[in-house]
Amino acid sequence: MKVVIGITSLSEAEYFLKHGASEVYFGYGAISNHRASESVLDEREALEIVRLAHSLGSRAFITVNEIYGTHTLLEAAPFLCRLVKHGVGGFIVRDAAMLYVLDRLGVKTKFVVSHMGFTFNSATVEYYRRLGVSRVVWPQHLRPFESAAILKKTGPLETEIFFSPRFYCINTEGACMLLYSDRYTQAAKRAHVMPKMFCHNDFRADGKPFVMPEPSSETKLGDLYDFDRQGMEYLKVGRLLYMGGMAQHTDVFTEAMTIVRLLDKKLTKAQFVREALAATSELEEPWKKHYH
Amino acid sequence: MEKALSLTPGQAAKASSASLKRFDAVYIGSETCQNLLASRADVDSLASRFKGKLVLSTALLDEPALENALSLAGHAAKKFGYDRIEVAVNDYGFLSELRREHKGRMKVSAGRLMMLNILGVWRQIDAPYLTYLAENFGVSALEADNPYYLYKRGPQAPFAVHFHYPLRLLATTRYCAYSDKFPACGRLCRDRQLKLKNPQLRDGFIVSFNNGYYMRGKAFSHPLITRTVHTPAARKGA
Repeated sequence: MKVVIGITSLSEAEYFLKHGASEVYFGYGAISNHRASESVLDEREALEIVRLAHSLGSRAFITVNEIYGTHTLLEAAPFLCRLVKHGVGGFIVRDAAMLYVLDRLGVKTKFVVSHMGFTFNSATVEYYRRLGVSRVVWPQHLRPFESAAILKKTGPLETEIFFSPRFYCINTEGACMLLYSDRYTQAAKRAHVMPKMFCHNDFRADGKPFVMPEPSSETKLGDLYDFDRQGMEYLKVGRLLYMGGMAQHTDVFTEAMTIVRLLDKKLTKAQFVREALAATSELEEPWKKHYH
Repeated sequence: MEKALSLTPGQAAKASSASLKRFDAVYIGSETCQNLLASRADVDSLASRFKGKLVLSTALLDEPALENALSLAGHAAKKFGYDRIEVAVNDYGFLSELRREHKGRMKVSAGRLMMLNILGVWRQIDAPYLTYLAENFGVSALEADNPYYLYKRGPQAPFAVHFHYPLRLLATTRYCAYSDKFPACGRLCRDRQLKLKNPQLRDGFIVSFNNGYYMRGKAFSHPLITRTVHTPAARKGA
């Protein structure tokens, strides 16, 4: 398993690629993406990142992982074509219509379907494959026994998954409206307490505490072990600069690298989970509560 | 304007013929939980009690659930006939397989989860997506529950809209609030709707129902709406 990491600048790309990241990915400010506030803003810098990755024998991907209107898509197309010309590793997408349009525009690059592509079965994987996708980021809620059933039908498939102990939406990401302001009271909005992670709030149901269900860290790490044994190639570390800055990002990157080293050892699942839990325990709280 | 009722298999089993008679269509299943897919027996039972259209509500589907859903759609088409059967689809793989198996004869609508995925907050319904879905998969209607989308974002295509109320979908999970044994569940939810209270919420609560989280919505009229779909209040309490 190799580590792919989201970046927001050339300097981050250089740091992570020189410290063991296999690939980097970034969003571009002018094209909305799922973490638009953590995007590279300057085209020159974006092209420099692509060139740097090449010079280091690696790849840089651009994430264009939203659903786009026709106008936005046509506006973005020239920039995307320039990236392809400069050797971008590929596009991370979720919009089938976008793939359809890019194909018609003759854009030839590698396409990775985002975890928000909801690939829960082999028919969905085939649906994206027909549109040119050659790598799948598994949805966060997909379990290894489910991916095994998919792989049995699709055959070998290049796959990737988020570093789940740190990057995990407890509700299906890509179809969640809990964050948006019209759900909240004026007082909550005025007091700026509208949370980034409303799903992690405490609720009461029938007078009892209620939290939205989420698998435990043990389950998530155990799943990573199973995915690895199924031949998964990439472990994805998301972008998170706005939360904890570069220091936080490097900490999480180091954790992911440790997990990958543990996966490479010949450990049993139970041994792996035990050691991985020890390696990932420090940042557990309160950081986890606030990350989105 | 058609009137429809949305029921889980458990609710459908209890619904009397007289209560169903008032509706042009019945939705059975769930858009948010693959374990609440209707069974063949549920379909047979409705076929004997209900003369209107049947809409199979389907969620995101893993491999076994996809096979079940495909088999169920085939069975329902035989029982009800293609003119009385529809499928509300939220899974792209299922959409593609339905097209392949039924050669475009099955009437298909894009489900609410698919709509959330397509529309999100800042996206536009003018996206080539709808044309793409219509041309390639025969999608002929949208399941919707948010008036904002209809007012502010189109659709700028002549798509029929089936408007659901009074629960407006906000999010979904694949982890059950009642059981940690996903995906085997035994339907422990028993159609319960939980009011999840939090003082920061405008209404004071959101509703947890069948692995979905909802806010309160209202019936709504718009020229594109060809059907209103009512979800009855379910059992209260945990």
